[in-house]
Amino acid sequence: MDLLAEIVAWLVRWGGIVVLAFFTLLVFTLIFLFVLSLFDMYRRLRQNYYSDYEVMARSRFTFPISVLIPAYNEERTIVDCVESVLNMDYPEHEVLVINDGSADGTLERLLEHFNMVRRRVVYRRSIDTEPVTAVYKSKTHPRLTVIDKDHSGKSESLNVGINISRYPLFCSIDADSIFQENALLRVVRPVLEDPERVVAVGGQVRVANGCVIKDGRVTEPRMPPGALAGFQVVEYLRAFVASRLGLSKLNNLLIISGVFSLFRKDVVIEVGGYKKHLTEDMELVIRIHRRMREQKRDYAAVFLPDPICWTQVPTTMKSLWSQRSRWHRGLMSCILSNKRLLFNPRYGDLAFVGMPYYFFFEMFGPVVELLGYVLIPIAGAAGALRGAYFLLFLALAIGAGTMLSMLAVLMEELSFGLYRRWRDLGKMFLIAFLENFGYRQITLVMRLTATVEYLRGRQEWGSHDREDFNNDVSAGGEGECASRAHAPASRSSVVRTKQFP
Amino acid sequence: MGESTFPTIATQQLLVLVAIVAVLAVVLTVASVFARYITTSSDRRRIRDLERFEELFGLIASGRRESRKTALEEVEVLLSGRNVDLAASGVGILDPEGRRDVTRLIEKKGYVDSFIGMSGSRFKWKRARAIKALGRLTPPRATPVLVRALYDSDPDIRNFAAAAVSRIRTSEAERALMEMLGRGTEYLSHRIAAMFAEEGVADRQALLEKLRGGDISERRWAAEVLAGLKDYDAVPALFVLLDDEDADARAAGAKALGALGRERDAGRIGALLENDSVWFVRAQAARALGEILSPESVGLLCAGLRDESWWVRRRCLESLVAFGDEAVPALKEVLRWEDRFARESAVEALERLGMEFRADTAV
Repeated sequence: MDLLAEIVAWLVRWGGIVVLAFFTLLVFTLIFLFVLSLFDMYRRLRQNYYSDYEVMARSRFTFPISVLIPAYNEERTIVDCVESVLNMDYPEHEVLVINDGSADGTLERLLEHFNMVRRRVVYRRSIDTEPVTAVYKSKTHPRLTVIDKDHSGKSESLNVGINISRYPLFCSIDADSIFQENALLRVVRPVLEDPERVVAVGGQVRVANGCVIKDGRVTEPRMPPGALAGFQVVEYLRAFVASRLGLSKLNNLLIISGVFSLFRKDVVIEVGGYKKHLTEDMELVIRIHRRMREQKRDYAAVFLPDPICWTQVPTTMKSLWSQRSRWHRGLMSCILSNKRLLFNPRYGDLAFVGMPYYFFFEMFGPVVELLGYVLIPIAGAAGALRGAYFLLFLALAIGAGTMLSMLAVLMEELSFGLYRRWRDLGKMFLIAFLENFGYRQITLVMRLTATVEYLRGRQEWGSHDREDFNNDVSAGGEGECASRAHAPASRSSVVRTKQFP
Repeated sequence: MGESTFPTIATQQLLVLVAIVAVLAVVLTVASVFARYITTSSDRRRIRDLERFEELFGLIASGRRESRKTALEEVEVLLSGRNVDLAASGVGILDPEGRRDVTRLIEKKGYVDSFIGMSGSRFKWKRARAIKALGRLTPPRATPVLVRALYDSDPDIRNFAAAAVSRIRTSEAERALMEMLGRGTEYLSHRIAAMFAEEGVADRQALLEKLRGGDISERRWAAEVLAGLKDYDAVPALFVLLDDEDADARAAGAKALGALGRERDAGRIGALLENDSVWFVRAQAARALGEILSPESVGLLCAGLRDESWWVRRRCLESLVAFGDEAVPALKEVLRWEDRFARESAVEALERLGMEFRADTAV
């Protein structure tokens, strides 16, 4: 009995220390990344403000881009998405939709809407892929190509797109996404500035649910009506605006979201293209980092806060679970299959910053958090739990979480200020606090379950229900002032001045 | 003793912590609300000022003497440190006389002096602001300031300065930009070349000299600009470029000659497609032939469909499509060749030119 009590006491003591140390380190790391992000955000936004994108938009020297849109059962959003990309203000770009054997009417909608005819196309298999079933060219939109193939997954679709694409840069976006104005010009800028060094660029991904969308453009960003999507707005803000920008500043960014990313095609071909993986975007980026560092090449993988792509997020618990499970299993697989990078001086700072960040905080985070939750009843049962200290710790945990989310909201307000309705601002602040009671725990369970599933070898993707874009909501009327989001084009330069103090 | 004081201390700490968290939450909320309030009202003010400036500038541009005079008086009253940047960005819509008048008003109020002073600031974004405003207003005495900014230690400032200098239509400004073309970063050259292509270049001779005597980057960019300007005086120098040892130079020469589009140059470029050892030179040559569209090149381009480099073959295919119906007989001939890629390319090209093939046609 005494032995058991000793074990429990030891567990509570050391478990508590581990949880506390982990938690403290995480908070300080996030604050550090946040500060880095703040400076970089300021610089990028100012750089944009003083830049003349009109010249780039007309210049024949601006690098042409192939936009790849892999689509699997996307009949509800695909037309809006393609329209949005075709309407981009960019000197030269082609759009390739790769229909990955959709079982719904994705292909039919494209063929009908864009007046497409079947064509033979000669292409080189720079990356080994299964053959395509058919290639269609639009009679009305010469820049649009639709590739039909049997279902074989997103990575294979992207590889097919890379093989058939014509230009040296490609941008991959999800079929349930919509570009913000000038997003292509903005995302290509680092490559134009430093074409030798910049190999990949990621743009910011925002939640499209609830936004007013007209003619393939988000005309008025709004908070989604449902709580689940609302939580994800703040979550995305925290992830993209804060941590990714900071990691990018250190050239340690391991995730460039496949929702919106730009790559140099030669580099992607050199590393073998996308691999069949749960998180093929992260896997590719890590492989690029590895190759570049192993060959001691000077390179950069950059995240930018200002090119924005709007995407749909899950609105049901089931699809959120499926998405988060896939993300976490993918993350574990990427990190564990590259564990030899950890603290290996050959990989420079990536081995001491980027990899440990994802290894300890992103991968092990849920386990340590669970340890915290498990220790509470054990300590309580063993009489080792002092109520006040428990509350102290709880207040600290909730307080730190809330502060980080609120800082992300404040940063959004100071930088882009896209959500112009007061009620949206209020909602974001409320969510920053409320997410600590329920949502955080639910996502923890999702990630823990994913950990178990990963260890048991589960490899399926899961599904994500799509919705129509919110096309029929009438725009305007509720903004307190002429909203920056839907201000007329002639005002845009004035409106953007707001971004700077 | 410890047992009795322990919870009390913890409760106090808890209260302090909760208070800190609450205060921070309130501070952040207030900061956001304040930021929203400030930006909303500042947006509102800016839009109001901009609309007023647009209205007044419209009156100035209308050319009616009375309304012009009244409008200028109103601009003078409206101008303030807060909206001078807006006024500067709006002068672009005015005729030269109107722009001069508005710039004089801004100068009279001391803002030009203030911008010139700001251009030497050690703070980068102050310099950027000054350069942007001066670049819009283009008062004569700002020229040396902007030209100096082309050599700023910060690449962003150099880019902003290039945009600003390009708006000054003086020989001094053009010389300064010419000097920077092909030097410094690729991005800066890209921007200058884009501006030259859009606005034109008065001193073509300087560009030609750059094409003949600069380093490889300068020659390449000069070739790009001259081709964009359709300057046929550049042809002899471009031919010299075709014989250069550097493959980049040869490719640039071929590309520029293609953009110039003279049928009589097709032979030289065709020779490059046939004989050059570097794939991207051959690819540029194929592309150039697709721009020149000399009927004699069709055979060469068809032969290029068998090139060892995929990019060259692809370029040849695109160029053959550009020929339209003229390429059809030769492409039909390719259908009989042994090379499968060439046959498939011919089918793709013929389909794009409107010929129908059954889906099951063996190629």
